[in-house]
Amino acid sequence: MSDVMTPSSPFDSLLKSGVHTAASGATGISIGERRDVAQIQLIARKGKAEQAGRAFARFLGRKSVLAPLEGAERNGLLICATGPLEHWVFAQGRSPGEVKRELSGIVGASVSLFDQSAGRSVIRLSGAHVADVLAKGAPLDLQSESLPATGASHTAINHIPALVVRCANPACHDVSVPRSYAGSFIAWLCEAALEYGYVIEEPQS
Amino acid sequence: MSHQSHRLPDGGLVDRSRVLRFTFDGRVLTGHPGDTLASALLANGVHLVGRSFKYHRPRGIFTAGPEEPNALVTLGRGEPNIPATTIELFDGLEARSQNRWPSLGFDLLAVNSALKPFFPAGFYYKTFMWPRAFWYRLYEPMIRHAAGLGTLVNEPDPDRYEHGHLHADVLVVGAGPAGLVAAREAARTGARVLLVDEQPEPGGHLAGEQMEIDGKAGADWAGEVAGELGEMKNVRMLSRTCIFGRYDGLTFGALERVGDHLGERENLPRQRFWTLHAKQFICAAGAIERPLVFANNDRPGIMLAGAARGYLNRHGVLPGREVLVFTNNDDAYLTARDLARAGAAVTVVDARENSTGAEILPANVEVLYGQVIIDTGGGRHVHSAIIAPVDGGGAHSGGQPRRCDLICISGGWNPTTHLLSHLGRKPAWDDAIAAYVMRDPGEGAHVAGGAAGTFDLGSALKDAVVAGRNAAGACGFRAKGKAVLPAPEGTPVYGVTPLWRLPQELSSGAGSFVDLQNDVTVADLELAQREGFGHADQAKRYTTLGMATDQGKLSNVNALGILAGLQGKTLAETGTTTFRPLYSAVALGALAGQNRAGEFAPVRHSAMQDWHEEHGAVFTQAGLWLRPYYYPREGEDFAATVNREVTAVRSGVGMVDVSTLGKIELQGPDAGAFLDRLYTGSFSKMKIGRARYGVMLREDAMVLDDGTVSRLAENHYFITVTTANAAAVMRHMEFCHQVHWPAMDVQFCSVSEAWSVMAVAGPDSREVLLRVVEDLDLSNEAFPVLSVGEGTVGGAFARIFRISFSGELAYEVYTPAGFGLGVWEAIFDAGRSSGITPYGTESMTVMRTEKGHVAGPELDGRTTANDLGLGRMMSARKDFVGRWLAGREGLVGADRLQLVGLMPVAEGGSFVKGAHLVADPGARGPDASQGHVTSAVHSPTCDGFIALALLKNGRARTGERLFAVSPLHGEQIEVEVTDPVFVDRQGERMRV
Repeated sequence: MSDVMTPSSPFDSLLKSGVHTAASGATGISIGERRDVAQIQLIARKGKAEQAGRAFARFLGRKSVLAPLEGAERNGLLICATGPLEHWVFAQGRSPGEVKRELSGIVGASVSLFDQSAGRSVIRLSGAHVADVLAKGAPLDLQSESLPATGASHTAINHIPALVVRCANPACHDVSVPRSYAGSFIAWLCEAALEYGYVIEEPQS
Repeated sequence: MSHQSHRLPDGGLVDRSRVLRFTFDGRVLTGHPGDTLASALLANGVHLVGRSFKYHRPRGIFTAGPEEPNALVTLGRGEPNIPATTIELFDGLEARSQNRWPSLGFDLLAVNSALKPFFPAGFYYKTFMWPRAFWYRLYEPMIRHAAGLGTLVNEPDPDRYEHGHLHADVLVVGAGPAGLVAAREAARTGARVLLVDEQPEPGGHLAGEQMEIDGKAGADWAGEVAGELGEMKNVRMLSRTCIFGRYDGLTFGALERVGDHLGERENLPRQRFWTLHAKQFICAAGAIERPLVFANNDRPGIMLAGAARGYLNRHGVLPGREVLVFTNNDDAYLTARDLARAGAAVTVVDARENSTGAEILPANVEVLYGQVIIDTGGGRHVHSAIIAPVDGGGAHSGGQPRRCDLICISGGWNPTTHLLSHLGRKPAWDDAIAAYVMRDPGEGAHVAGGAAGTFDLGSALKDAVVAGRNAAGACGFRAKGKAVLPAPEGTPVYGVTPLWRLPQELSSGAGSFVDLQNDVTVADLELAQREGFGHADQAKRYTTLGMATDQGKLSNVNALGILAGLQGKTLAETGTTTFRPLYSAVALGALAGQNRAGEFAPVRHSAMQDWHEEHGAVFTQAGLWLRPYYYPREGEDFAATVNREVTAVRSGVGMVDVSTLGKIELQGPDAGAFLDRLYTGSFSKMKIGRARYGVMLREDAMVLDDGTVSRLAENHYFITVTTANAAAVMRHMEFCHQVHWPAMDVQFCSVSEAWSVMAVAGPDSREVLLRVVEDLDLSNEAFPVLSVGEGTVGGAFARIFRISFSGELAYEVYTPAGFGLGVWEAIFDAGRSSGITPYGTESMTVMRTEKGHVAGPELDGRTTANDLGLGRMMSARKDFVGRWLAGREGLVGADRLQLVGLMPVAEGGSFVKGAHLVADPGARGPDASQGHVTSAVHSPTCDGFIALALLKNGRARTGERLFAVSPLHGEQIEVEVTDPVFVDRQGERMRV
């Protein structure tokens, strides 16, 4: 029992690399899993929401606190305000414990931290038709700046709970979905992308 | 192969260089790209396209749009009731006429037309009343067979559908001239504009007109404006899309015909159901022409004047060569002019005494003022009309027949106000244009063009500019500079004199159709009025007027005019019927979208799903989760499998995937106090590293859920709830926190997905775990029942709970979900030498029933903690949700249904779940029931069937004999009431 086992991804058997072109031969969207993404949900303690917001603003070098749906990145931590009392932090390639410790250093005891890393998987969608594909399942307004770059929003995609993050690159979105829904999410995604064609890429760690 | 006898050599927007082949009732015909099925049929001289709903009268193409009442066809493999006027032609299209037998030309049920006097509105309610039993068995099936529109096929829809969401600052409905200008004005301010139109190309009616704007043909001008809009990044245009309903606020439902016009759709869906969200909405949906009501106004070859004009100018089809244009307004003069220019012999029959419209007519067009068509002749195609003069008093003075092969009729225009009215707002009558108009469209809504009742194009374009700027302005976008108004060619000033029906003496009324789709005549409306159903909404239901696919778009206003006349009221007084979605028919497949068959709802899998499949599990659904039900071995049936699994756990060791449990983490200084208020028990003083069983009540004191509460740190708790109730409990907690106790400093969230969980149960479970668990002492002394500790399995973190659902020595191993499969396999490998057996949910059910543990069937929302024998868990020293109502008289009476066990008196007897418990097996009726069986299983441990039941005053009736009867299954069995715990009543096995 000395060997440490490797965590499995629900997408291991679902996402096989390959190209699925549209009738025109085009591929309008790329689909790839981002692995090793620490995901920490932070909920502000009673009466400490403003304090937490200011602490994040200081860390991010911002004058104003993040408003809901806004996000910002620093030192590999993508910090998204996902509700009046809630933030969600993503960090790729770092352990959840390490990220929690760093966050505790930033916001102190103004928030409670919940590790959601193991329970959710992140799919990166990129390409010209990402917003068109997501619009087939999510009621979010992804065609405008309603969800700004690096911002995130909870939503449901074809009845599947999801947290959609708009990447700094405008033609790229990350979707964090509960891992138990992975099969249904991929089934929906691939059908929704059929019209534009899609490429399934190797997982990114 | 067909000869397109009515296709003109040039003109129109069809591409004559390409020929498309299609079939209608098996006959091969041809058309061109740009045709609709209707225009192609007309081009081929096909006028008879269907039979009417009730009387099976021959019917032809009446309109050129979705309001078509007659030309409904069945497409391809069997989708019925598609208006031929909305079907874009493609090569290989197959269409069939409907509602006829054995053929369209010779329909035996046309005899109904001769029997029309016996079939007035509502005749079946009056006629088929006796004998009563015949209604369902004979009359209704017979009527349904004879009536109806088309036939459904009993096969899965082979097409693919999608859903989608779009957002905009300004939604413009209709890409006619007003819609285009409004969209352009709004877009120029920077507002995000969504322009939606049901036609393939923008321009609305312009494509069907010989009209210039800014010195260009109308269609070309529309194309240029659309091109300009297409270049703007803040504009999105959806063509072939019909907005069928307005819902809360500014949310709309729309149907896009993505692939309907394509023979081969490749990867495209057939249709897409859009939900549109806008901040402002401009209705530029145009107007719909009204028919005129006279005897035999329904023959093939009679169509709306605007439609005939459209077929000529848009499709290059001349629908007739000897044409009568019957009108009460000036717009129809455009039709007369255009048909005459195309070579038809045209006579205008104008019910009015004069008109300025005649000024645009060529000299060879005769105008008969003050005359009306009172009847028509013909069979499968109109061949003549009777024209009679009308004097000022409305009396006729004889009539003269006249030959014709086309009668174009126009009774005026109705603004399309449906989307403005769907939320309950009613349009008002405007005498100036003899139509209902929405003068105040309400907050966030604007109206322009024909939809506003502005039938002069110049004025409509001015209104559109204002609407576009106002809508954008309301979204915070300001127009810069002065708008450049397009300059349309002059058209006749629209004037109209309402003509709802011909004077009584001019027409029998019996054959004067008001609603062609539902075969509703003037006589039917008169009958409705006589019988007390004269109110617009009542007459609609009495006669079926305005129902089915056209939803009264053509018939409603004429009917209101007729009813108003019968009642001596004005149309302002009469008002309209209620506008409701859907504006046009939507396929059920489109409403379902991708959520059909296996994709009806998402399916959730645990991290060990692949392992379960590889090991032959049979699955069952628990909410959205797919769970192993049992793991049959070769040659085993269900019962043998479950007996084996249960026996293995009771005598050795088994493991089960319980990852589906709801898991909620709580943090904060008030977490313990919060749980004290939430549960009947107390947790704030529980030691760190301990777990406890908990019961949660609703405010009405009924049990909401049960589960475990564990304390991980001073201000850190972890609770589990049942799989099925996970979301409900989370909602309840949020409600309590946000509404009841907002001051409490507690934070919680679902972590159900984060953990894979496996229960390892049985006398050998400790031994198995000792082989794989590191960093945790699992001895009974160090880790007694209800302990919580942390260790590792194969290097993976594991939080281990000593909790038992089976009643055996048992552990629940939690590990981050990514390690779930690895830890499961490690434990299974470690247990091979001990014969570890995976078991499913049925074995769990058997073992919890043996132990008298309640679950979903007992937690049915009507049971209190005391009913379930959990009253001892209700703390008397603190307050909690449901405490006070639990003391209500009705909830503590001796006749409450209480949890008991049951065993069959006779050896080998079995139970039916849901069976009622009665003293007398012959007794029937609800009063005889003293309770019911909630859970019934075969117990290998007890070597027979056992059950849990809810029985009146049950705990005091141990040893009593009753009968469990299930009339539904035709079964009854004598049973003995027992303690609900069948195995290990002292609970010693879990403590070893």
